[in-house]
Amino acid sequence: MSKRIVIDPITRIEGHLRIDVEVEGGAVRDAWSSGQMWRGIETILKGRDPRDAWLFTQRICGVCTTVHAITSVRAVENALGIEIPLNAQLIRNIIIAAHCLHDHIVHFYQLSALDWVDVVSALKADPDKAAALAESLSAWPRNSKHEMRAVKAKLAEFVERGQLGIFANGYWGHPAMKLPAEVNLLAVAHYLQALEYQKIANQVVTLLGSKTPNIQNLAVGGVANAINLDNPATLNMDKLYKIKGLLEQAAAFVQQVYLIDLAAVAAMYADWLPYGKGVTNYLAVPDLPLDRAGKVFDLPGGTIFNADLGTVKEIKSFDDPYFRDNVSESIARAWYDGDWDRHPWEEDTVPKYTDFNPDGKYSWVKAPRFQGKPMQVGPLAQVLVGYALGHEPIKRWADAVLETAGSLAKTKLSPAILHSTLGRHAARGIRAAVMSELALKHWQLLVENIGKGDTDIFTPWQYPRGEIRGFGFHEAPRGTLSHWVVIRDGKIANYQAVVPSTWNAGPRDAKGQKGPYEACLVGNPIADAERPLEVLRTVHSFDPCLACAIHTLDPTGRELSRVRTL
Amino acid sequence: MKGKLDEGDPPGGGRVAVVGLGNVLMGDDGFGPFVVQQLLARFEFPDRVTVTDLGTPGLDLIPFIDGAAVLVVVDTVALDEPPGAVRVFRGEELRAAPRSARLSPHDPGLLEALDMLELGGEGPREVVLVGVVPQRCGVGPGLSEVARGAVDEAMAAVVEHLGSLGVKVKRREEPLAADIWWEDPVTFRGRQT
Repeated sequence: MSKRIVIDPITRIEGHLRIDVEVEGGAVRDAWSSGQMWRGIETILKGRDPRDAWLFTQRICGVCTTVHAITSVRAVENALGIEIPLNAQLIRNIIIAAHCLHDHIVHFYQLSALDWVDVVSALKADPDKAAALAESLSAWPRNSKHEMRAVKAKLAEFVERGQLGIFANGYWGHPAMKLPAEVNLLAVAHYLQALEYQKIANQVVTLLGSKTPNIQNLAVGGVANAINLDNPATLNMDKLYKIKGLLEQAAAFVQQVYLIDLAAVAAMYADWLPYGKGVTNYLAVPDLPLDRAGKVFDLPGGTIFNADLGTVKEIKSFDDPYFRDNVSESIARAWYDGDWDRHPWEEDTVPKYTDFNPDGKYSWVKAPRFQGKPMQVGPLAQVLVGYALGHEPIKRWADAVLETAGSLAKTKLSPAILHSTLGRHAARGIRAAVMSELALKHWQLLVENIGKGDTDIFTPWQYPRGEIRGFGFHEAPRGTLSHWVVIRDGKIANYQAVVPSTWNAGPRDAKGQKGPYEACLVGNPIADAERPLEVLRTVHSFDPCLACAIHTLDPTGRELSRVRTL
Repeated sequence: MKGKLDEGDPPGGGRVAVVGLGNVLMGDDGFGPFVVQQLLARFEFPDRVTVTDLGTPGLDLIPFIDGAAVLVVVDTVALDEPPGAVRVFRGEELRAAPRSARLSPHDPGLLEALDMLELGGEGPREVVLVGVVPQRCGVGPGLSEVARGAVDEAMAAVVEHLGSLGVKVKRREEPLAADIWWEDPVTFRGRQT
């Protein structure tokens, strides 16, 4: 007898991610992932000046504003065929790296750690033992007895006042929670510290981007950060050194806290390593360009098929036809008029809502495909592509995490375990560590380039008559993001954003191939159908971000989310 | 909780954060950002008051709230009242609402950001929400006539609340042009070769 579980938050007027799973014999037998709203960015952009597109696209999401802004200017620059000054490239890179550090830290601690950490159990911990354990694993100075005692007292006060709302749906006391009390306490302490360090990373975005969310310093052709080392109003030595200090602090947290906590969680949940594999075709794009044209990169991109690292094929430039020609989107199972599979430049968006029909159309999310195949995107894709290509920092940090987790679990862990729910978390930490080094490297490159007397930040250009087409990509915190633009006589004729969460959360296609969320849930254990913690663990490991739309507060406290078992 | 802002605040403290929340691409959901731009165009605020359009930020709210003594939020609200109704909610009423399930980084919103700050030790001592009931939150920028008609009332509610805290807000004699860039008509300003 199978049972249907529906997880459907209805926090916003149009809702967002809905997950349906069919459970039989304590495990998931089938799954459907559905986006419960539609984005019509192309409807909004048609006819506008392509120079304005980045301001609009960064509003389609409130969390990933920076990434849409960057990708949009890259797409228009690609259409125009222009190169941007090296300073502009490096300033964008530092913003990208800092935003990524902020985002990965928040995802692990604030958004997903509670799937593994039992907050209430931390109250039973011996703070001195927690401190001793932490100090045996890391040189981080903020793991002292004093710190652990203070956190425990603060938490006790919170629980006493009934303020556990912050940990809502944390499923404390669930049978699938397995960390010792001391590790739980340590995690709560780092949860609070993470709030400080994500902010520190984000301050870098603000210093260069003027504001975040919604940076203001971009332009098609470069950036608007005037450089004059003697002028207090521009980018100068004082600001540059402030940025360096902030990046160093964020890097220390990532390398000494985040990575260690990840390894500990993975080691203590080693029984989870077989779950959550799903789609093992991977797609990542190269990022952090080192030149004006976008032909040399510090982060690798490419594809891998069927979990075979030997199949790796590199994506080599901002203009690589291997990426450009192989992306398409299918609407066979999505609420749009028709059932086509088209290249983004050729798409239209005509919504046609019919009810949730698991055998027909059931999502607002289109199903992106690469050479017709579903692909998993995200940090795991980039780490695997980098590992397969022998990318030194990725290999070094990946081996370090596998070794730390393996020694804690008293077993040897190979990169093959990364094809899993926990592997996606591990890869995000590995990528954060790589980014923390590269952020400082690109800071150094920027300072050296300015030191040579180069203060150029913008390439002037003009629209040609007639039609031009472009695409821009960015390896965002959630994975491969691409924008596709068709410009006719200087106006936007078509615009499509193929976002990471559509690659991962997309529905089945015309051939019935499941999207990554759907595929990876199959086989997941379910201990308690009323509290499907295991489903959330696997979905959260992708760092879903679908809500690129609506935000409305409900102050009356009506039902905000539901978990239904049918 | 109550009283003039300067009382008990350290020198230079007592920051007031006025934030507009909402998606400018989704009709009336852009109410908060719209009101923020109008406030900036029509009033002069003392240095201690920051007035910011934050879009739909999730936990990115935290740095803007952190260290603020008072938080004033302008947003749309889901209520069983006619579109255009403006309602003011106080901290206690807001904080009583249940928290949502966590599926995406948008799910921790205002309430969760406040909870986290408090657990860390530094929440604002007062939170006020000025909310409007939206009429249309479909795809596409631009407020409905009904929501537009509620803008003055929402602005008055913000200014009045600041006044009750002893914060002086001065009406500009010559209002600036409000920067509602998302409602600009579709125009092409480029040059062609």
